Amino acid sequence: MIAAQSRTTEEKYGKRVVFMAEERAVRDPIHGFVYLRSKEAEIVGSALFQRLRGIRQLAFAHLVYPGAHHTRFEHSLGVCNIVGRLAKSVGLKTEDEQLVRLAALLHDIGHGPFSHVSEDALEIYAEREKLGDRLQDDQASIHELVTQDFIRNDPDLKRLLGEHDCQRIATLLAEGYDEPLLRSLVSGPLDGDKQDYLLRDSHYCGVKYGVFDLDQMHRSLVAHDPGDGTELMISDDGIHVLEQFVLAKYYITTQVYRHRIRLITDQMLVRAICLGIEKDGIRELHELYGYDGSADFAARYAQWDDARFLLHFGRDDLSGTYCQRLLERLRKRQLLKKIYGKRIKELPGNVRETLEQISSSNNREKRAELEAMIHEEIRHRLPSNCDLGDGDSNFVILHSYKFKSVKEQSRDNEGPILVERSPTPKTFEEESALFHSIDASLSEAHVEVYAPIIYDSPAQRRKVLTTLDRPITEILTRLSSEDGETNEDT
Amino acid sequence: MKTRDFVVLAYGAFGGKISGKTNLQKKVYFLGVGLGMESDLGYRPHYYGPYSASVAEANSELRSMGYLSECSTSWGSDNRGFEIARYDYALTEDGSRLLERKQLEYRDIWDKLIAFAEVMKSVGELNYWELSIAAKSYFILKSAGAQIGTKEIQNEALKLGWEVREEEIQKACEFLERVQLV
Repeated sequence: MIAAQSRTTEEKYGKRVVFMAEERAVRDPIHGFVYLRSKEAEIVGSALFQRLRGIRQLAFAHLVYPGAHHTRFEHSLGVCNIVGRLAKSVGLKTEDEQLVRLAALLHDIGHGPFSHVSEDALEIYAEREKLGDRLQDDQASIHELVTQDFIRNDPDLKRLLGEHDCQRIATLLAEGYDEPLLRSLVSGPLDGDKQDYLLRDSHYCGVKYGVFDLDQMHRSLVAHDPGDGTELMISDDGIHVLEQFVLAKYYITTQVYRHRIRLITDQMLVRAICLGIEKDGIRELHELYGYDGSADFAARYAQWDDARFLLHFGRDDLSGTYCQRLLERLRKRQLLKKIYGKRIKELPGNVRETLEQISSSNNREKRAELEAMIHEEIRHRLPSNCDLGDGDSNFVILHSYKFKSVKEQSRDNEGPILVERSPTPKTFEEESALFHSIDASLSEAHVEVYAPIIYDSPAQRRKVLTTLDRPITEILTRLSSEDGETNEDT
Repeated sequence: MKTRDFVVLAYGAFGGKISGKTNLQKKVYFLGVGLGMESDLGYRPHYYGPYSASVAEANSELRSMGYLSECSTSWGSDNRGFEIARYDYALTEDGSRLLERKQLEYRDIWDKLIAFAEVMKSVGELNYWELSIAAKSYFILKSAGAQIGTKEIQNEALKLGWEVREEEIQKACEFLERVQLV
């Protein structure tokens, strides 16, 4: 994987970069060669980092896009490469450049099996009462805390980087420093993470949605200080490549990240974990996601990747458990089917808020109640020649989600993308004639139901969807409206 | 309190309608400042004016859930042929019912918010441009940390690339005084 290279740093990076005694080059389908400095290569060689080879970037997206087997490992190398290039092009001093490269390399180190699926499970099963003021600001998510714990406490990282640098990297990833430029390279609307995953996910999925002109974008990015701190901005000649970048983000979100099958497989995994913990009583599963901030938790969590998860919790002696049955379905691609879908705004006003939040951990009882009612309805209304598969209400999943409009894709929580203008910058939305004119109203929230139905023909599928539409709408309306009235009374 | 709930109350405080996204940002900002909640709403003082991605997202969510209607008005085209539009928002019937629920849920905040909005309105309904100048003037005044005159504010604004007339700053300062922010 890693080959020693004889080229000097100066040849590769130009005069500003400090000479490193030894460097490694890694072949990468997106970036050609990714060059790692000696310390970075040592980190890559650590057990904690190697674990990322076993965590697929897009969980079960390969059930839709067969090529999507890429992992957090190569993505992390790619982000390090991009951030390194950005750091050079905006002229960061050597110490800062090294810091942001390391932060980029380690930004996904806290990922668990199936990437974002584990984030959802951690949010549900974290033992918050043991976390004290670590969750005080209500902003940090649990998986971010896991990342910080790994970076601050992993013995290999501490040995390689020293305690001080581990703390600095964790702080930069968590909240940044006063200088927004460093933070914006690793976390912001133009960060290296997005630049890499758009290109990488497009490549491995075999789609062209996430493609943009990376070289032109880097040529156009500038560090500018308009008076209250240096920030990452785009120069005037970068407006069009930025339009391409934002559109790429929108298209890949709608076509890949929010693909119907991908939503279903993610929900099946989350449900397998929840049922495994709550109904099957699988202790190891609970320990895997019961984050308590302890060193024991980190040591356990670091042992897991996708393959071990599937083998361990899908093993024969767990046969018949909810968890094993759902994992078996995923393995055989016997997926739940979407039997209902609505835009939330199509449902009555007093139920929309509840339904929009129905997938959150706070609404689990209500969600289960609705799912049981929907299951009963399906059983009664399903044609006799149509099979309800496992026939259990726990395998009926009610799920809500939303995605941002194309215009909102140009922002993140850190704020808008800025365009360098004299004497003060302007927002990208103001400066892009294309985005200025786009109707921003396309942001949508949806509610869907998935169930283990087996159809024998497309015509039967259409008939079932039509038959179930009205009764499921009535269930959602009835139960949630009672909730709405309760809220009103209080 | 969720940002989205605050935005719903803000619509309620301004008669259920707000015209223009900039206007929305500035109105919610000043209500937030008035109630000491601007940072909770995600506003950061900045040279491009106070802006909250959370408020923009909350507005978009309310729109996507059918609690707000959106009406875009074409203001012609720019010199490259792209349309310039203004987006006006109004609570729908469902949105008005949501507002009623939120008024009950956040009774204390609603009382303070409506009182502050009334003071804002008593100055005369400022348009988005005037509110922007007020927000920028407030930013300059806060950054200065001391009392400075309208001419100095104008000079500081010019350094930040904002060309505003002294009488506009005067009006902005009157607004800030009336709502007791300076």
